[in-house]
Amino acid sequence: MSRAWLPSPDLLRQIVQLLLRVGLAAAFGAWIGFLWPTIAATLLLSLIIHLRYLTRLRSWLNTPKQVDLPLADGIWGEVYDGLLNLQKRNRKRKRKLAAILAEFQASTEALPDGAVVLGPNGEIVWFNTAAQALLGLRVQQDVGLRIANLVRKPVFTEYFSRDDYSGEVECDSPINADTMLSFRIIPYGNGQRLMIVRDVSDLRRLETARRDFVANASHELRTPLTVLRGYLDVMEPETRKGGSLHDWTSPMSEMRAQAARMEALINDLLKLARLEANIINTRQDLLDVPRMLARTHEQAKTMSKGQHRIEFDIEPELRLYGRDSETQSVFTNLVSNAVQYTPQGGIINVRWWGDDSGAHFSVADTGIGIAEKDLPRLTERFYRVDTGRSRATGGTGLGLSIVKHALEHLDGKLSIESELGVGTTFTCSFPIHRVHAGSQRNELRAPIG
Amino acid sequence: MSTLSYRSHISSQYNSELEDVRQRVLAMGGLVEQQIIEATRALVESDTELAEQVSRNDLRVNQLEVQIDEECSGILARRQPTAGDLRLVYAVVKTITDLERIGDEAEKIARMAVDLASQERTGAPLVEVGHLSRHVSQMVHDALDAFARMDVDAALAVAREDLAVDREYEALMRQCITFMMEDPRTIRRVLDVIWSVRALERIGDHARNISEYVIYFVKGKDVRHLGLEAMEREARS
Repeated sequence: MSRAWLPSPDLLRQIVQLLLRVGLAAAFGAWIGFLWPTIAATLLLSLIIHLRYLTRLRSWLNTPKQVDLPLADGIWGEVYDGLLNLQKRNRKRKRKLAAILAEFQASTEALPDGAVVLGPNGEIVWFNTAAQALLGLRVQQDVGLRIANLVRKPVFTEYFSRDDYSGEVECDSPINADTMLSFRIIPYGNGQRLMIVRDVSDLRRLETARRDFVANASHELRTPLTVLRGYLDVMEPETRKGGSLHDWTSPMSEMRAQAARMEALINDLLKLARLEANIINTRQDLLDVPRMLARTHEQAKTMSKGQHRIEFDIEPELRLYGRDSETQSVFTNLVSNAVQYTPQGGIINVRWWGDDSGAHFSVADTGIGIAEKDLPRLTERFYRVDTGRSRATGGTGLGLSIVKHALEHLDGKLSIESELGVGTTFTCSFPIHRVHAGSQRNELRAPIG
Repeated sequence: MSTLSYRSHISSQYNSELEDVRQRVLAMGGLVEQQIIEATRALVESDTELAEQVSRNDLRVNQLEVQIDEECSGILARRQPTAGDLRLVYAVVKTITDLERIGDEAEKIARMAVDLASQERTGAPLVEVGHLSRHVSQMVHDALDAFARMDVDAALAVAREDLAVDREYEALMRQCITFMMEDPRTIRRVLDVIWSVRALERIGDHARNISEYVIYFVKGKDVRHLGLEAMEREARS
């Protein structure tokens, strides 16, 4: 205990040094005859030196980056060295922590969902870029604001003020009414909360499309049935009265047409269902496309009844790997569409050719054309640009859907170019690995596997 | 500039009281925003059920106004706020009055929707009304965003937008008059539409008022009844 009262050896050394210096000065002072003034001057000088080092230390502490610590002797040198070491160690640790933090934020940043960290009062602590885009948050400005002040939809406010955050809540985005967002809040330690925001617009759109499909399909199927029943309702009492079937020839042919329509519709639906079931058939046949197209040519001529000029321009040796029925339905659907939607006297040009990128099939007509706004929805099931017209020509409304799905199985791509009143060109492109090597163009590679 | 001075109170209880009251105003604003959108949807799609729901929700808007009002007088009595805090409480009291009025206008539109649903729908510019409504509800949204962020620039943008709404309102009025002159049988339903258009225009004015309170709170300057240019000069100085 008594050791605490003793000065440390370090301090003792400093005192001895000081005394030595003063002693030397005193000896010198005694020799020149000014003992006390010399001692005082020496003490004052060493005090000034200490003060100088001290002020330098202070200015360094205030702005450690701008001011360099000077080299110093004695105890000040040791103090400065120690401080510099400490600073170096701190910098290293800070860099390491910053790297860890940056890594964490980068990983959260990469999330496609918006993430917002909320403090105890619901104030925004941190958010990622996705949240910024979904909720319209601003980087510097919005940190510290309460989230409920910015997302004000009553559904969200109600969910946010709940104690129990089970489940999620959906409402439209505060910046875009067309975007549906799903919010989920997860509480964790210290009253903090993590809010996950997901864009569910596509999901909702898909649900609407499915609902529309069921409604459309039942409507399309019911129309022929209504016609059939209408006739039967009239026929039954007539035949019971003993009337002959002789007078009913024209209604009967109408009934047959309606029945055929229903059959076509159901066939198309089944075909679509098969295509969508995505049964992966590893077996791929080598298809003799030119012969298939010759068949399509005959069909087209029969359909057109000589009302159109139909030109087929086919590369004779170009063959494709794929499935017969799918490929044929692509050709038939596109060509019969062209015949149906081209007025009398129009020209239909069908081409089949190969190049470095693969094989291409195109159908160009001089028909009524398709408006640009209809193009994206054209391959939707039952989508009709002009309802009355397409029913009159006997289409099922499924043709292009079938083409789209069949092409997906063949790794093909469909592109449509159209101008209203001028005509439409449908082009299907098949990748090179689908094309048969023995085709006339030598540069085409053999298919793999 | 003492934008968020009220955050630095020694009593954290006082801080959170002020923040809470602000949050409630904005929650009320969210409800009112939804009321505008749903009332117009009811009008355009002649959805009577939705219109009745809007009328019911208006009671909630009124309740919120009374509650927030009481909270504010509580704060005034107990805390005796000064400077920035006083301006905040003052701006809140003014804002909820305007929000409540917007709610009333929305309810008026919903009433017109019910009336219009029972009539023939031709000869009324309903699509344009939908457009005006989107414009106006966006204004209310932006005004509330400005209130949440205490953003003077955004508040000024809302005030500028009010001019565009006024122009759109005049164009719609002229259209309505043409409809009535062409066929006097449409007068009754076009009058209903005119009432709704008028209500929407009023909502735009209330949104502008709210943005003025934002400027008052942040800058401590009264910019009511000033022209747009004078208002911008005041707010930026």
